[in-house]
Amino acid sequence: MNDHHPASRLLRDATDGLEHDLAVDVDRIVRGGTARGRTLRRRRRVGTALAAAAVVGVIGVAAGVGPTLLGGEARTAPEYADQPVTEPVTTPTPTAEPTEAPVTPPAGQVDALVTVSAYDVPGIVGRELGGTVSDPLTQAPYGVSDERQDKMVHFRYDGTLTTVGIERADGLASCEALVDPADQPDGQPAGRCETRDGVLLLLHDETADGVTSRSVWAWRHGYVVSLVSYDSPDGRAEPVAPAPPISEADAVRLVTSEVWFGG
Amino acid sequence: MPGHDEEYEEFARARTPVLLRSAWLLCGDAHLAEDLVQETLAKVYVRWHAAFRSPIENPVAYAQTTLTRTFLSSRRRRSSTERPTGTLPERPVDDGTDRAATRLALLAALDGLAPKDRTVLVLRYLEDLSVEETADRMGCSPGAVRSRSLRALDRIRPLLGSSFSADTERHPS
Repeated sequence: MNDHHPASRLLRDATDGLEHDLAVDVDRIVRGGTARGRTLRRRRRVGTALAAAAVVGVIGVAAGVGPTLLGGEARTAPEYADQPVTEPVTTPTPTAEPTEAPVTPPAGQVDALVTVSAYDVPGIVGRELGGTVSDPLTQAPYGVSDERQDKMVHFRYDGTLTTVGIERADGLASCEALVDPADQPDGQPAGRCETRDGVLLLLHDETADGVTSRSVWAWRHGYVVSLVSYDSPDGRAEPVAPAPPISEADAVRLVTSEVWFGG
Repeated sequence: MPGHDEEYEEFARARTPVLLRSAWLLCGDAHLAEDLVQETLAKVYVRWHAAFRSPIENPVAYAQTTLTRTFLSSRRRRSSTERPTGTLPERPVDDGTDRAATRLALLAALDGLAPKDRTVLVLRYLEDLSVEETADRMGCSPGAVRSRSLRALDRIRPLLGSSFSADTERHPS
């Protein structure tokens, strides 16, 4: 190491007490970073899907069927606008020739209802794939979200952490935006986007800190159904399998299944 | 989830002074350094709260890596034609107490360095990473790190005092 290198001494001497000498307000920096982080997170979630919906004035199926069919009450903790756009919004820089045919954004239309409870998801996964599943993990940092249009559940499949989510697609960025390397801290693409049998998929295998995760997202019926399979029990450390136990093919089969939907 | 924001803010508050020191050396400007730290904290925040990804195993290293890569990425966007200056700074007051003069002289020396050279200097000699660790964090070869390290050290040699020689770097103990 370089602890005793003259350059180390120089750099440390020069920066020692820097924040004090420059009268830096650490709390202000933290508040600013947190605010930017929230904005960045929100922007990624809302992203291009909602922007596209606003431009073409898409009214989702939910607007037509109204809140009664969708359950009546509001989401408990909306991270993004979950109501469909009810009025066409004029784009700030309109093209000379308006589009005559309606343009359907790839992820904007809700045309089915999510009919499963988040608490039933582990059982469904076990039944569909044949592995051994645990009950939902309810203790922090996991927890279960079981809103009508926003489900997330963590459980163990063959002893490894598995996460399944079902979210409104218009609350997420487009697949391309989600994998965009420019938005990743490491500058690497966060997976790839593919269309298989007419279904848009995001596929991402990642190894970080010795733990491998396999993520597959599918844009279906106006929702994103996602599954993440890890090779370790807590997704943090100590892998117990050579790879995530749910193969990409099985994950794709699961997230593209109709088992989540009805109506 | 309960406490997640509080945990993040506690971490951010504890690490901000350290991040700021690296950022100041990288940017050479206090305001740019604060901006870089904020951008870094924002990215850490997003990763910290990402529901579909495993928790960060080593948040300290993750934040430092994010800072470095954010700096290099921003510099690539701003300019790809930076050239070293041809003049070296005057040696500052050598009594070891005039920190302000040392800082000014150091910034002046670093001002002519390419962003990657500055980054190598910070990673190796402020964060105390090995050549291999630095190469891994920057996504380049150990050979490139060594060569950039020599170039960076050469720039600040006038500030290092008589104990330093090129052999110190070429043949580290």
